[in-house]
Formats: sequence, C-alpha cells, structure tokens
Amino acid sequence: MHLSLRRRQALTGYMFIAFWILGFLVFLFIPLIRNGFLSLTDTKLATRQEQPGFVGLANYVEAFTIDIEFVPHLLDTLVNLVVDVPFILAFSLAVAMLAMQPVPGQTIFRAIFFLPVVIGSAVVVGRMFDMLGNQLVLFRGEGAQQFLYIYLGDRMPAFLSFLNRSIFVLWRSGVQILIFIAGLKSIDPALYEVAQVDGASTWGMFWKITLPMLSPVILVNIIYTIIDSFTDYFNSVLNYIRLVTFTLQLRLGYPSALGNIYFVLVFALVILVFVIVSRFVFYRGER
Amino acid sequence: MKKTSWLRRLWGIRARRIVLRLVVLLLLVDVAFIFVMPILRLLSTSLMHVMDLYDPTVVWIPRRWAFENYSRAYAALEYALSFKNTALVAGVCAILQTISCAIVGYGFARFRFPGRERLFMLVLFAMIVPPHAIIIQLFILFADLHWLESYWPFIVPSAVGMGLRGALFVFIFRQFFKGMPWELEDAAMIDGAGPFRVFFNIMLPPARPAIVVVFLFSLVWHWNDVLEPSIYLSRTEKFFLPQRLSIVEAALANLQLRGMWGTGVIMASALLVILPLLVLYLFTQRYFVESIERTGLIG
Repeated sequence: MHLSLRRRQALTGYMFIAFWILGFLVFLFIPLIRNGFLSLTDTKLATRQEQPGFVGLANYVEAFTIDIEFVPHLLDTLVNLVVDVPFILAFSLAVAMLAMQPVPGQTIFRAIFFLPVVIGSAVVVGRMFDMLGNQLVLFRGEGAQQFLYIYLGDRMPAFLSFLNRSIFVLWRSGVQILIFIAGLKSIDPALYEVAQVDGASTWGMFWKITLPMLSPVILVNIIYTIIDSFTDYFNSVLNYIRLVTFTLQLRLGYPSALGNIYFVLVFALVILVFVIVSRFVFYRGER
Repeated sequence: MKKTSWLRRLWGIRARRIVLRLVVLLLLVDVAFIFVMPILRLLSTSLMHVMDLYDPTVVWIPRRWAFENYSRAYAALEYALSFKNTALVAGVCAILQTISCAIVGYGFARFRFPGRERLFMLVLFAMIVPPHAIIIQLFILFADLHWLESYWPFIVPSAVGMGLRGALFVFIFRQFFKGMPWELEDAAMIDGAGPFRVFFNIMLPPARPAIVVVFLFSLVWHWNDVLEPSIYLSRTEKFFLPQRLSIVEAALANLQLRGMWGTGVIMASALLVILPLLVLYLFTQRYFVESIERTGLIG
C-alpha cells in the first residue's frame, strides 16, 4: 500500500490522538449526554437499572421553584467568583512582578511563592484555615481585637472572616503567579530599553508595555481562575449535588439537572468572559 | 516631573535605587510570610499539648511539647497503609498521564490532519466542563463496570489522557511542542525513523521541562484529590491520605476526644498528609521553578 506523504501524515496524526478522543467520548462526552437524558427522569439511586420515568423539565422547575437551597448556593458561588477573580489576578500579577525583581534570594522567594501549588490540598489548606480561624489573621492578640471592636462594633466578625478569606484567596493564586512569571519572562526586554531611552517612567512602562504585552496571559489567567473556582472542592454547589445524590435524597435525576444547570452557567460565563476580554487582548505578532 | 528631580537631588540616583531595592525586598518578605505563616502555624499547633491550646500566653512556641500528637496522628491515619495507597495511585496516574498527554499534545502540535482545529476545540471544551455535570454518570459508569472500590477509575482515565485536568496537560504539551524547531525531526525522518521513534527518541528528551511540570502537577493534584475518591471508594483500607484526614477530623469532632487529644492531632495529621509533597518539592524545587519558565506555557 502506498500513501501520499500528506495522507500518511494525517493518519499518523490520528494515531497519536485517537486514544484521547476515545477517552474524551467515554469519560466526558457520553456521560454529559446521558446526564442530559437522566435529568429529564425521576430516577433514584436504587432504581437506576429500571426503566426511568420521564418527567420532562420538572427537575429543572423544581431547582428554581421548590428547592430553597440550590439557588442560594448558586448565587454564593457566583458572588465569590466575582469578588475573587479580580483579587487573585491583581495579587498574582503583583507577586509575579515582585518575583522578577533582581534581589538577593530571588530563587528562595520564587520557591516559596509556588508552595501553594504544591500543597494545594483543599483538605489540608481548609484545615489550616478553618481550625485556626481568627488566630490566623494578623490581629491575633486580645488587645488588637478589642481595639478593632471599638471601631467595627458588630461588624468585627464579618471583618475578620473577610481577612481570613483574603488570605485564603491568596493561597489559591499559585498557578496564576507561575503563569504570570512565564508571561513576564517572554516580554522582549528591548521594548523597555527603547522606552527608557525615550524617557518613559516606570509607571508609564507598566501601562503601555507590560499590560498590553501581558494581555494574552491575563486572558489565560482569567479563564483558568474562573474554571478553578468553579470546580473547587469548597464549591458549595458541588457539595450540595453530592449531598442530594448520596446522602439526603438518593435521587439521580434531580442532581443531574442541577449539574446541567451549573454546566450551562459555567459554559456561558466562560464564553462571555472570553469574548469580552478578547477584545482587549493585544497580540504582538498580529498585523 | 518636578517631584522626581527634587527627589534625585536629595538622594542621588544610587541611594534611590537602594531604597527601591529595600522596599521590594520588604514586600517580597511580606508576601512570602503570607505563604509560609500558615505552615508554621500548622507546625507549631501540631506540637501543642491541649493545655497550651487554651493558654493565651502560648503563641508560637509550645510550653508543653506534645510529640505524642504525631504518634497519635500516625496511628489514626493508618499512615503506612494510606501512604502506600496514595503514593501508588498518585504515582501511577501521574506517570500515565504525563506519557499519554505528551503523546496527544505532540499529535496536535506536529501533524496536519483534517479537522485538527475542531478536535483541538474538544480539548478546550474538556477543560471547561465542571465535574458537577458528569460525576453522577461517571459513578454509574464505574458501578456498571464493577470498578467501584478499586483504583481503576483513577488509572484508566489517566492512561488515555483524561483524568484530573488531563486536557490542561494536553494543552501544555501542545504549546511546548509547537515551539520546538523542526530541523531535528526532519533530519530523523530523512534518516528513516518512524514517527513514534522520532517522538520517543528525538522529541521527548528536550521536552524535560514540560514533563517535569506536568508530572509534578499531576502528582500533586492526584495526591490531594478528595472529590473522586470520596465517591468511588468507601472501604477505609482503600482510602487515600486526605480522606483519612477527614475521618480523623470527624472523629475528633467528638468533644470528649477533642478535650483529651486536642486540635494538635488534626494539625499533626494535616502535616503528615502533605509532608511527602513538601519533601519532594524541597528536592525538585529548583528544577521546577526553572522548568516553568522554559515550558513556554503561553506561546
């Protein structure tokens, strides 16, 4: 059998990716489709082998009208996302730029900044933050707390939990720092030299060179952060779905519908953010 | 403009630069503190006796050292067994995922075939799908295959380049291979090497930075994963370390036990769970940091 070079190339290419496509179908695509069907039935964990009863969109209606817990969980996730993403991005960019500065012990600092990636254990990190609670924040001493109380009054617990949460959020920015460092490294130093010769200030160079050149990386980081926080172990929707499926109601059809709603929401949001942010992204190679 | 010239006259450029360095250093120490402090806290609390926990004068250094926290944690975690489980599954999955994702990433980066861009969209799609939408179906799938209570639900998806964030790893490898020069490959092809030999002998060795990054990520994420194990495994002798930690914690939620043992045991357990990763990172850290920068993660 004699094949042209192009045909042979294409065939080899398919061979390299074939098993992934198979895995994609078996472990992702087919489950997703079946999930769609299941969400239209009243299947329960115990009766999943039997013929499912078709209930139409009842599960979806229930999620938004009868279930008093689902919508708050969903809103909770969304609000956290809106608050966290800018916070994580700004923090990780700042840290990445700091880590680029030539100071003694640079490698040690970088090694420390990647620690959250390595530890990254939701359970362990969660333990650290839950159990240590307020101790963690800088205002551990009794005096400091009383001092704060004078100013904040009843709002103090909320303030403390905000502080805890912010440290917790910073702990989730390991990968983002890493991506930003890689991005900063890829910016052509000649650009800065030229700007310096022309008398640009450091501040000006940040806005006119660093940010535009970094914009593709920022896009990657935004998308990554959104996906990461949507699929987080602490994500309350995920825990709720697990609870409904395996502990509380032992149903399958209804949690499938919840998962679907969530998926559609995530998908729409990612596409939306991608489309909006893409308009601000600058690619140097493009003409 | 006026302000800078005034500053310059006062300090001189050199002094200003030194001050700037100091500020940067201070900020770096600050941020490093945020990352190191919780671990130090964990360490210090894990060595505290119950009495110390309720003593407001004890802040960082325990007054009554409680090394028995560690022996208790070791026993409660059934450390030897759970460590073996975790290391085995996380290790095997990481190796399989690294190999399979490298192959797929290479396929997407270096061969031209009809529908390539569209198929690559599937990789991006796979990254977005949250576990919420498929976890029930995966549970049913593995239940039908009689794979529950076994490690196959972790190993098989890893072997085909899916599994935990497999799509992300495919993406990383594709970006990396795209950035590599064509000459070596062409030369090897002309010398008559088949595509798989070219891949394993010529392309894989220089891909070491990407391999290190993906392997470590995969290992860490598998090590720390709690969602999937909690759904596929229910027998404690099969459990991984993070699940054990949850059990220890649940046990200590019992007030009497907590009064006796204290929070220190949970902290010691938590530290024992991540200790292997910390040790591994200590040895690979330099290599890791360097690799990240050379992967061309974004190309």
